[in-house]
Amino acid sequence: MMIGVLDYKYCNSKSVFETLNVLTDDVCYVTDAKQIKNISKLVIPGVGSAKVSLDYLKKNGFTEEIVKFVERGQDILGICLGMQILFKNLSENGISEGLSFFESNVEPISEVSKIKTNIGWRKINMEKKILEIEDNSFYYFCHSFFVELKNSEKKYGVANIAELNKIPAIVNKENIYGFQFHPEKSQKNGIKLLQNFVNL
Amino acid sequence: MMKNFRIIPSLLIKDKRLVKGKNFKNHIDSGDPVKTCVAYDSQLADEIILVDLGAFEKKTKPDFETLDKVVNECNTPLTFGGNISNLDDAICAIKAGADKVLINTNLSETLINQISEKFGNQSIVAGIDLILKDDKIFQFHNNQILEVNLYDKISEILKLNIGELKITFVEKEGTKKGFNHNLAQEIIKITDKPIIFEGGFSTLKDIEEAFKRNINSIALGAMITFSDNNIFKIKQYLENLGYNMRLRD
Repeated sequence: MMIGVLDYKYCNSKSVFETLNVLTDDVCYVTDAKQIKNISKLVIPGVGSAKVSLDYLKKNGFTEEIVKFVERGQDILGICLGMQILFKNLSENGISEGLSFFESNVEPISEVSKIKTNIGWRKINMEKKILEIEDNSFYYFCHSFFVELKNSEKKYGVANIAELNKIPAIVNKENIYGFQFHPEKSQKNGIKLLQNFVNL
Repeated sequence: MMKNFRIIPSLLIKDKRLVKGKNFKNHIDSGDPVKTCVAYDSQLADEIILVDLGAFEKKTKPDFETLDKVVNECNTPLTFGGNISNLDDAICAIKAGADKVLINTNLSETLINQISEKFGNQSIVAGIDLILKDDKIFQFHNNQILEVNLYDKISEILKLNIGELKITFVEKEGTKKGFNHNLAQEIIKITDKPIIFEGGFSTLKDIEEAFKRNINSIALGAMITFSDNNIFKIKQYLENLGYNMRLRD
């Protein structure tokens, strides 16, 4: 088994890599699209912006490889922006087309909150049990956009932030996992969660 | 909306060591950055702010090496600053594992837009240092002191593509003389972005008073550096008063 951490140039792949590296020997950076067919799980980190990241993925052949990877049924985990790019349209610096594994779009937080950025630790409410995550546990969020699940896709919302208009904290559709928060920055809770993803 | 409180150690580095001063002066050694951050990580600090004071003073490249080492040892969100003067510096900081960069001296629309285009506005904290003297407000910027109109200054910064602000009350910084709650309260009235406040916090009562007045994110320096206080104890005290703190993993 080999877990790949996607390095799409303008992102924080290092924190995710270093955290996984403590949990398993089988982790590598993915810097070339060709590597994707040789790994068994893929993590797409965050700290980036939609347009620049998606342009980079498209230009460098990552998009097709990620789609094939998901179609093979292999586990993929998107973190923060890494989760948002799995959706359809993202509206940061103009509209960018995401990887479209979901039909829903990504919108500014200001639509649902009077504070434009959600920065800090939030309790999440589990609607379904996955990855042995405890209900009401704390994770670290840092984002200005959120996934606005359409009614037809509400079933993929596994956890939400109750105190912030129930915006999605975790999404899951078969082998696709997305965390709006940063497990690599969520101290023990986050490490445990990544461990559970490694063990899948 | 439920409040999300943040208690954030604010640390200065110089020549790969931590230092602490008073009113931005007379800095003395206060320990090893990696060991200290690991301790704050286990005390459930909500974030850590690490600023390379040496880079600011000498106008050199920030110490990305120390940042890199800290990130390898802890899983606490990290904001890094200290003479981040161009996009390249911001890239180095985030590549080394920082979640946010703190831009203070070099705060310009051009630089903010460059960073925000690449990493998103949530990755930028705009820093502003204020001095309150004889009911007038001054900004301490690049070693100069200029009188400002508080409302205009904050509004101007809020228009930038930033995720949040960090405001330091310089005349209080490192003094443990008490926080300026009134001024902070004036400032939060005009903002639609989170603000981290620093400068003068000295007692648990001081923090309690801040929380009472909707000042939710605070950065601590002297109060946790040269005293018996630690982040966990502070959080426990506030929890006992009924504030919903993050006290367990």
